[in-house]
Amino acid sequence: MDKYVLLFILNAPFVIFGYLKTVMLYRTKNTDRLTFVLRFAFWTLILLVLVFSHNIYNYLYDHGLTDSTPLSLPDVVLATGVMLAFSLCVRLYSKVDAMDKRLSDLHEKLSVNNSEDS
Amino acid sequence: MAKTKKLTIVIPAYNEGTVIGGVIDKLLKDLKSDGLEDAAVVVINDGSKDNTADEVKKRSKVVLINHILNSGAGAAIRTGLGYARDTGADYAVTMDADGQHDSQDMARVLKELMKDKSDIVIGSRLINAEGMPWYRVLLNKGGGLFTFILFGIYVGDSQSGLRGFNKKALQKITFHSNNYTYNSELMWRIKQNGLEVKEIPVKAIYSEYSLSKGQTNWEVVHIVRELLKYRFLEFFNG
Repeated sequence: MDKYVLLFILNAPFVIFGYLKTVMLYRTKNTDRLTFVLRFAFWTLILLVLVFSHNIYNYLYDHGLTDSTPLSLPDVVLATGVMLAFSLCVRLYSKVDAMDKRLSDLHEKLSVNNSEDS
Repeated sequence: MAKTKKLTIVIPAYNEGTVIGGVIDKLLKDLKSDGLEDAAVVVINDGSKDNTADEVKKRSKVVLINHILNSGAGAAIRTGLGYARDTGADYAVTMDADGQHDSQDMARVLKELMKDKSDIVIGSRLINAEGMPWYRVLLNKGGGLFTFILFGIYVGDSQSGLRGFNKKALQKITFHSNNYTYNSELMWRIKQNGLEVKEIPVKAIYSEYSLSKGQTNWEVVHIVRELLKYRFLEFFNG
């Protein structure tokens, strides 16, 4: 199988998930129009890079901007690994942030419950 | 001023034992002379290690909320505004505990808020920055500019601690920053909720003591990092 097709197949789920989340956030009114457009543009950019990765490589090579060899299987694994690590990073960051918020809420409620009127 | 409206004054304090007594005494005196003696004065003692709590307890008509842990200015303000919201306040005004704000200015912020034209009134020290050290002017203007670049809302003095909130703003605004990052995050939430903001000029009383408090230049680095994190997380997670 062509390595560029493999790269697309392995990474397309991340983009689809990104699109779904973008639409879901907008429909549930958790985001404004500008952020929706920016998110949509971001995932479209990733999608375009994936679809045209071979053309991009050819362009860069023809113009002397890179002298690396064409995509190898380890390159595909590496690129997919970067995407996976990025997704995990965002998820973990979000979970830690959510826990931090809940701890702050708990702290505040406890403090208010123990308030003193003089 | 309509006496039926319920007012809460929120004062976050951390190790302010030497000055907080004077600040509260002056505030209570000014409130009385303005006919606002029914206002609830709430001091959030953010885990102080000095005698801040004892100084507050000596005063009557003051609610003391003790943070079990020192959590930062943002957390203290959030606790205070949450208290105001939960006790049904119509208006809440926040002011610093270091004596930087004149309680007469607090009354002016409240008066502006009561005109019901704005949801949030900010006492801006930068409209007339006379007497303010140049590096503070630079720091505050930089904060405002950075908030604009990141969140698309420009407020002249986004870092001011003297702010008034009406009931609508109290109900709608939630922020999560615990430290001074809350100043910029608050502006972001204001924009997201479509709330009306107005700035009025106030004077900042700078003493050697008040200058030793507040944000330091190094904290700015931390604030910038935190704000970028919020922007990044919200971009991907909403």
